[in-house]
Amino acid sequence: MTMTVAAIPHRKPRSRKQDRRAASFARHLLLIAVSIIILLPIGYMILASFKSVADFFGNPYGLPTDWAFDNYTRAWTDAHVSITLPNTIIVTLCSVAGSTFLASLIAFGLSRKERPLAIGLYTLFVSGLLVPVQMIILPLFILLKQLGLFGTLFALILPYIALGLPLGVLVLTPIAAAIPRDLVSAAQVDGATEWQIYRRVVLPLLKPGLISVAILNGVWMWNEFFIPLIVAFRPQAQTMPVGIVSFIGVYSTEWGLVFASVVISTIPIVVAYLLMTRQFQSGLTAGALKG
Amino acid sequence: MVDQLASVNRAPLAQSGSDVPRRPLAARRRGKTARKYAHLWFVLPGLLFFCLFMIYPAISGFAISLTAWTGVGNDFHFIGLQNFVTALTSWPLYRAAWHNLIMFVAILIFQHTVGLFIAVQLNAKPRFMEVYRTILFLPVIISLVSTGFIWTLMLSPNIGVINPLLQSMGLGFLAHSWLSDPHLALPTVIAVQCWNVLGWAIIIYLAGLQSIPEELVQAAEMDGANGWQRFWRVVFPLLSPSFTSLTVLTFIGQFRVFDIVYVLTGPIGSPNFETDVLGTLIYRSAFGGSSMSSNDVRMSYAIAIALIVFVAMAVVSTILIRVLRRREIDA
Amino acid sequence: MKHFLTKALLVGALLASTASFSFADDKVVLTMWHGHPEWKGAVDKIIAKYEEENPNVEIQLEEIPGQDLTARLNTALAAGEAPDLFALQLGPTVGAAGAAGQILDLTGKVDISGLTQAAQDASNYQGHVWSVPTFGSYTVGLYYQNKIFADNGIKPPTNETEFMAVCKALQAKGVTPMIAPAQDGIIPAFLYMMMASSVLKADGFADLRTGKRKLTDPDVVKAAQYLQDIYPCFEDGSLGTAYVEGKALFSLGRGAMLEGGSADYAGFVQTNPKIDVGVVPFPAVDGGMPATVTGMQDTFSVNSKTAHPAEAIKFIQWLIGKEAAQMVVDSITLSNTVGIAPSNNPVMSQMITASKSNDVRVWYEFPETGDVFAAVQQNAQALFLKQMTPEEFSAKLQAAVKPSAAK
Repeated sequence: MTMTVAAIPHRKPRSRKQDRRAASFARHLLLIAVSIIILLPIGYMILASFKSVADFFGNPYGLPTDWAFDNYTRAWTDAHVSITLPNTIIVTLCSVAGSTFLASLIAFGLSRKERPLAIGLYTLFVSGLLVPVQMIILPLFILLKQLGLFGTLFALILPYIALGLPLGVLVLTPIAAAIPRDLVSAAQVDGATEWQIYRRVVLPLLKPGLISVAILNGVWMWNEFFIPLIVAFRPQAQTMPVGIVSFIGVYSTEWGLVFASVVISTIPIVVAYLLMTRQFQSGLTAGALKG
Repeated sequence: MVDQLASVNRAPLAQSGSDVPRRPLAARRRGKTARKYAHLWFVLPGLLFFCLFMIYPAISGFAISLTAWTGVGNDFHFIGLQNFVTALTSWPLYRAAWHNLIMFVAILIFQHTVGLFIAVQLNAKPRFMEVYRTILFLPVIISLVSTGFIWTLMLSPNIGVINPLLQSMGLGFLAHSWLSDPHLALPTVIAVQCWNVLGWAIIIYLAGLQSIPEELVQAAEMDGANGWQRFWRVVFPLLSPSFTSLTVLTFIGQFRVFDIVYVLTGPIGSPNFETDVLGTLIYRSAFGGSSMSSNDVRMSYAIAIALIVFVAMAVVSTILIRVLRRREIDA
Repeated sequence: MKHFLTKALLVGALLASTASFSFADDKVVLTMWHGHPEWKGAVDKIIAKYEEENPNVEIQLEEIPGQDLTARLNTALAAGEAPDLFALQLGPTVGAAGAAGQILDLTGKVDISGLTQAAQDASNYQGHVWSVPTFGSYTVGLYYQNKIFADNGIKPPTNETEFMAVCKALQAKGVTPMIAPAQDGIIPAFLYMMMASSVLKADGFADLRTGKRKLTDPDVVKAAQYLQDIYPCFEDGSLGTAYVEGKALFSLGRGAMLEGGSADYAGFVQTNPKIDVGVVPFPAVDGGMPATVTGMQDTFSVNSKTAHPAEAIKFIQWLIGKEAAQMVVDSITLSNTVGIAPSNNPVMSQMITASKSNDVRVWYEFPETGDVFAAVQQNAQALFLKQMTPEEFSAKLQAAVKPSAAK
């Protein structure tokens, strides 16, 4: 990593500071520009959530002529947001917790060197990322019914845990494998059981990875639409994405309600994301994050 | 990953200072074997979940694809691999896959240039860095149904805002019927996708950048390297793992894409199949192209296509990972 | 970390298990799935009326958009978890479900004699009554903006020549002649059906189904030509316009004409309460008869596994009665299958008048022509973009026809 360089003229400190300020200014400009592009559709959507249908099509991009706050109250009742929001929170929390926990166990189990078996299992798990959901949805439905889980939230949680494993194993196994052997050996010699090694040595070092996995899985589990559509249709077991779609008609749609529901459903996960990235930041500098 | 597993060395048992009584050799060996494989039991709970909720349904799904089931009724008569043969010889499959490929390449380039660039800017820790990062991740979090529909409205040549915006900037000649022009529809979908997935590149690259030890960069700076050299010779090679993750995730994401295309251009990939991708093809075969007529529904055929896509993706991603990981090691 | 995980799992387990309670009532509960969330308010009222007259029955309605409903219903049916009442598409789907014993055979159990002939025909599939059109029928014709036509001194066209003349006249004034949201191919499919029907008429259509007539017959190919010819009259970006946006454009007055059905009217009013439109049958191919097409809306079946077959059948019988039909016509603005007129809706009355001249049943309800609908959907855009000739187009559609001896 050494550089062979020709002698570079020594720069005066002051102009370097000016350079930095200019760079910083340009940087801010760029970031603001990109942020505006990102926020534009979202801004329209939030505005639209306060409009009636006539206002939405007649005046798509301006401020609402009549602020339709009842879109939100109606979304709360008509879309059963009072039921689907807690359901979605429970399902996502449990699935993320369960999936991340099991993936960490698997990563620990696969992190040593039993070549063919470990690599075979690793490939098996990661290939789950590619499984197309239309292929498994009907057998999954029947299975859930046979297990007596149909109509409960477990009908979503258990499949989600299984579906979240591939990503978890993909991210966590390299991290677990990179844990210095000495740490593990020292614990073994001290008489620690494997479980204690897992809890005391490996798990703390996995922390940044655990948070990445939680975010990656949490996002899709929160927004997942197809599986709950097919499998979780008892009203008490529904999740938000399906509830949102229930306003979208064939001949006409209540767009204000749709967007109000979307806004309501986005706030919790944005909050969760903010909280998790705080943790993420502090954990990152502690360990090397290998993709 | 393969190499990492192989390269973790077995460190010699550390000698503890205390006087530990030693068991007879044979018992020690049995004990050692048990200990050596004890941690594999940890895999079991996850494996059980996986087998029950993933593998078993996948095998059942495969079984269905060997029949002629349409999706309704109970006509499950066995037709062997006929669905697969039909799928592999049908032009729409390859056309859709071609579109996926174009999308993948375009978005990959975007992610590794624009995404990386913005991540680098954020890594310089400007003020409000967290605000920017949250904003840039929002499209990933927000439901695609609504953002997709807003985009179709914005892009509409009739009540959209993109064309008037272009006109007001004096770029009126660029205004087109974005989603209905056969030549522009796919690029437009790609552009919206870029808007959607930029957040992933930023998150992954940012994590990678922040795990690079400061000392290395400072050492290069003290050696007199300028910003450009610092980046390309020191930083970028150390970003290889992020490069790999992002590439693999983009590959998987773009070949499984469905929601955004469905919302932007409908179930038949208008105009005239220009934006048809594997996801919409499978959905259409499984559940029909509209809610009015169900005569073209063939669920078992859809599963066959899905399986073919699965196998192809598995092969390609294995190769991809192997190539990229080797690059990582060399870096 | 572990504590948190354990707690989360326990709490989740508790809540998850309590989320699956069921009613322990002496009421009869019927579950029903319907594919039109936009009509939820109206359907809720109709159901409320029934529950008022039958206090021991409760009907739990769920509304899901059409295509998502297909995915959910097909899967639920295969897994044996379908609701008591649901609507399958007419044709082979209903036949397959019936043959598999998944739906009740309603022959003789539901009295369909009060329905119009077309509705009775639709209820019969290969000798069995598997489903009944419960929410009336929808008729499709041509809507036009009264004001635009009056301002420009033109009359609604009755054939292709007049249509193209109207089109040119309006374009000269900078008005979009016709809104055609063609993104999913459904509107072009309806357009083709009406154009071809204007040539074939009802007996020609019957001959098409027995194979005596073909879509590649030269006079019918003119319909394909007609379809290709009117493409320039559509709005900008029609191939990328979704149905919902197209309707909104028309409601806002951005186009003079829209091919639409009776079920569309409520949506117009929702977007623009001041809308002022008229309805005519769709202009015919030169020399033909302007046609409308009528399809059955929501043909409901009863789940064979239902716990309450008698009550379910009774509800269906009530739905096709005059009381319910009147509510459907008035609130959902669907023309009906029982022969009543809307109480106070001049536009709907116009629609019913329009359907009196040459009304053909919508093609996808017949096993012989079911695939033609999908074929038009998938090939229309190529026809519009002139990547396919009308002859090739007609040939593709004819290939999708499955002639049968029976009518």
